[in-house]
Amino acid sequence: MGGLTWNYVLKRVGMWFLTIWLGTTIIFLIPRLAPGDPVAGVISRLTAQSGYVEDSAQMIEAWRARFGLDQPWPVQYITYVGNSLRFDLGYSLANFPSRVESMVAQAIPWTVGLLLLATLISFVLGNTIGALMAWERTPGWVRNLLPVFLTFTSIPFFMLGILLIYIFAFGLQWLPASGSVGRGLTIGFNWPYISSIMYHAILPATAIVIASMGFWALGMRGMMITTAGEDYMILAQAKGLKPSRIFWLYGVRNSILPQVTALTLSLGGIVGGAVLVEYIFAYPGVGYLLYQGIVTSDYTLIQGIVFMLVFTTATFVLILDLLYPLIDPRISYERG
Amino acid sequence: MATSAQSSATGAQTPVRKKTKLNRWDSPWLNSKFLTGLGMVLFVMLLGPIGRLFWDETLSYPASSPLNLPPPWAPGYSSEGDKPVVQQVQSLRDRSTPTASAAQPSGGEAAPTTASTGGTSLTGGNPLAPKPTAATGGSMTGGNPLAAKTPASGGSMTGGNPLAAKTPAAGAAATPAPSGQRQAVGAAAYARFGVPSWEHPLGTESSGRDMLAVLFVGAPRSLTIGLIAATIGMFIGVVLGFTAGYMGGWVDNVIRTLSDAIIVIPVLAVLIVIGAYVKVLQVENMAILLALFLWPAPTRYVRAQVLSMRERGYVNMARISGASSFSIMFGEMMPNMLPYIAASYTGNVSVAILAATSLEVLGLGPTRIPTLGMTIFYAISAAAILRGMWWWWGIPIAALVIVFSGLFLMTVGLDEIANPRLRGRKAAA
Repeated sequence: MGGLTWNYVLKRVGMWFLTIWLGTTIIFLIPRLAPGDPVAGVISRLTAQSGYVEDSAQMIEAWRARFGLDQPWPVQYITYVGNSLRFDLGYSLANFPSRVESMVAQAIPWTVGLLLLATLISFVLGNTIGALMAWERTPGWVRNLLPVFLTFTSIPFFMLGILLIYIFAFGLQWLPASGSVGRGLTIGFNWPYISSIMYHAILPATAIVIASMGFWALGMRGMMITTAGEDYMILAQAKGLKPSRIFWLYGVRNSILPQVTALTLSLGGIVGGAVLVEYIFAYPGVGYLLYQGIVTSDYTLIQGIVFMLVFTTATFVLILDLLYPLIDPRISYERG
Repeated sequence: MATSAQSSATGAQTPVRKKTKLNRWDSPWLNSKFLTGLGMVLFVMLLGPIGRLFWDETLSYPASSPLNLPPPWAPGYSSEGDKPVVQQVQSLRDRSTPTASAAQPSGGEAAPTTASTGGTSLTGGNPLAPKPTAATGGSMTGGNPLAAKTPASGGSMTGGNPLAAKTPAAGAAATPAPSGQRQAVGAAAYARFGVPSWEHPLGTESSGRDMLAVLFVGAPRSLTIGLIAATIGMFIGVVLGFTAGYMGGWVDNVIRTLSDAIIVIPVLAVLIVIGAYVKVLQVENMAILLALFLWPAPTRYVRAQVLSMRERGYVNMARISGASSFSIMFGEMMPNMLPYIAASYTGNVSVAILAATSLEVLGLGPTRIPTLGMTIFYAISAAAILRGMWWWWGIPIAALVIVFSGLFLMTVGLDEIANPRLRGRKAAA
C-alpha cells in the first residue's frame, strides 16, 4: 500500500483543474452579473473629465468588438477560460499598452520574497516555541508566553503593520514607513541595493512574523501535548536518550505533520496572503498592484491577479497532496 | 485522528465530579477562555445599543459636530474678527475646530509650541527678524518686508505673507493684520487638530466625525456582518455535511468535491473582484457573499463526524428503536458535535469579520455608513499614521483587536471543551 497510485494522482489533478475552473468561472461571472457596464463606465468617466465625448456610442461598440464583448456569452466564456489557462490575461485597462501578466510578473518577486521569508521565519520560530510550551523540561517563563501569543495571533497582519509604522517609522524613525527599496540605487546584485531591500523589508516582515507566529505555536503546542502522552515517548525516556534527541526526533518529528500541511496551505496563499500588508507599507508586490487596480478601476488587472491567486493556491494544494505520501507514510490513499 | 473519540467531554471531568457531587454548575462549558472571549465580544457588541443612550450617534457623520465653525471665508466667521487674533486662536484651540484647517493650504509644519510663543506681541517691521528672501519681500502687501522663520526670534509678520504657512504659527498669531488670520488660525487649529477633548472624548478625524460615535455605530456593524455571514455559512455547512455523511454515494461525492474545490479559492480575492465591480456593497449583501465561502469548512467537519458516528452504538440503538433519520441526525449526533460546531462557528465569524474589514480597508465597503474598516481606510488615505493622529486609526483597530481576540479565545476555549486533552496538565496554561 502507501505511495502514489495512478488513481490518486489522477483524482488530485482533477481536483486541481476543478478548482481553477471554478475560480475562473466565478471571475468570469461576476462582471456579467454586476450592474453597470465597465466600458460604458470608462466612457462616462471620460465624459466627466472632458465634458463631452464625441461618438461615444460608436466608441463603446468599437471597444466591445475589441474585447469580444459583442459575442454571445458561451463564446466569451470559452475564450476567457482558454486565455486564462494560457496565462493570456489581456491588457491592463489603466496602463493600456502593458499586459497584465507582465505587470504581475514584475510584482511577484517582491511578494514571494517578502512572504516566503516571513512565513518560514515565523514557522520555525512559532513551532519551536509551541513545542517548548508543551515540553515538560522547559522553564516556567516560556510556558507563560502562551497568553502573549493568544493576543498576537488574533491581530490581523495589517493592523500590526499600522502599529509598527506608528512606533518605528513615525515615532522612533528607525525604519522606513513604505516602499521596498531606497531611491537612486543601481539595480543589481550589489550590497547597497540588497541591504536597502532588507532594510525596507524589516517592518512588513516583522508584522507578518509576529502576527502569524502564535498560530504555529498554538497548533504545535496542541500536537505536542498529544504526542507527549504516547508510549514511544516514555520508551525513549526509559532508554535514557538525550532530552534534546527526544524533543526533536521523537516529539517534534511526530507532531509537525499537521503543521507542514498548514504551512503548504499558507504558502499557497502567499501570493495574495498579505494584500493589506503590502497596501499599508506600499510594498510593490502583487497585493499593492491589486490595490492600484481597485483604485484605477483596472478590471482586467484585478481579474488577472485574482486568477493568479486561485491558480497558485490550487497548485500548492496539488503539490502538497502529491508530496504527502513522502512526508507521512502512515496515510492510506485508497480511501481518497 | 483521536479527536472523534473525545467527543464526550465529560469523560475527563469524572474525578472532579465525584468530589463535588452532582454540582450542576460544574460544566465543561464553564471554560475560562471561552467565557473571557464571550465577554470581550459582548462588550463590543453592546457598545452600540448602550452607547446610543448617552452619546449622539449622528456625530459619526462628516462635519456633524456642533463645534464645527464655518470656514474662515464664510460670513459667520467674522463674528470674532474684532478680537485680537491671539484670543481668537486661543478660543479656537479650546474648541478644537476641525474645519478651520481647511483654510490652511500647507500648514503641515505647524508647531505645537504656539501657546508659549504666541504671546510675544509685536508690531510690524521687526528688524531682528532673519533676512527675508527677495522674492517674498517683493510680494508682500501687509507692509512688513521681514518674514520670520523662527518663532524664537519673536518673528513678526504681516498679513498676506506667503511664508506664513511655513512659519510656525507663533509669529502670525500676534499680528493684527486681517488676512493673516486665516493662516494663523488654521495653523493653530492644525496643531491640535481633532485631538481628543471633553467635547470629543476620542477625538475627531479630518472630516469632523466624532470617533466615539463612529465606534458606537461602526463596531456593532462589523460584528453583525460576521455573525450573519457565519450563521448562514454554518447553516449550509451543517445541512450539507449531514446530507453528505448520511446519504453517501454520489451526493457525498458531489458535495465533498465541491467543498474541497471552494475551500482552496481565496475568499478575499474573489470578494475584491465583486467589490470592484459593485463598488458599493451593503452590509447584508457583503454578509451573504461571505457566507458563500464559509460553508466548506463546517461541511467537511460535520461529514467526517457523521461518518465516524454512524456506526457507534448509540446511533445504532436509535436506529433500531425506529428513530427517523432526522431525529438521529439532530437528536443523537448533533449534541455530540456541538462544541466543535461552535468552535468552527466562532472561527468563521472571525474570518468573516476579517474579510469584511479587509474589503473596507481597501475602500470597497459601504461608504455611507461608518464602519471600522472604512475608518481605517480613511485614516490611511489621509496619512493619519504619519500625522500622529493615533486616535483615528487606533480606535477602530483597538475595537477590532478586542473582537478578534475575543473570538479567538472563544474558539480556543471551545476546542478545549470539545477535546479535554488540549486543556493541558495545568488548567492555567
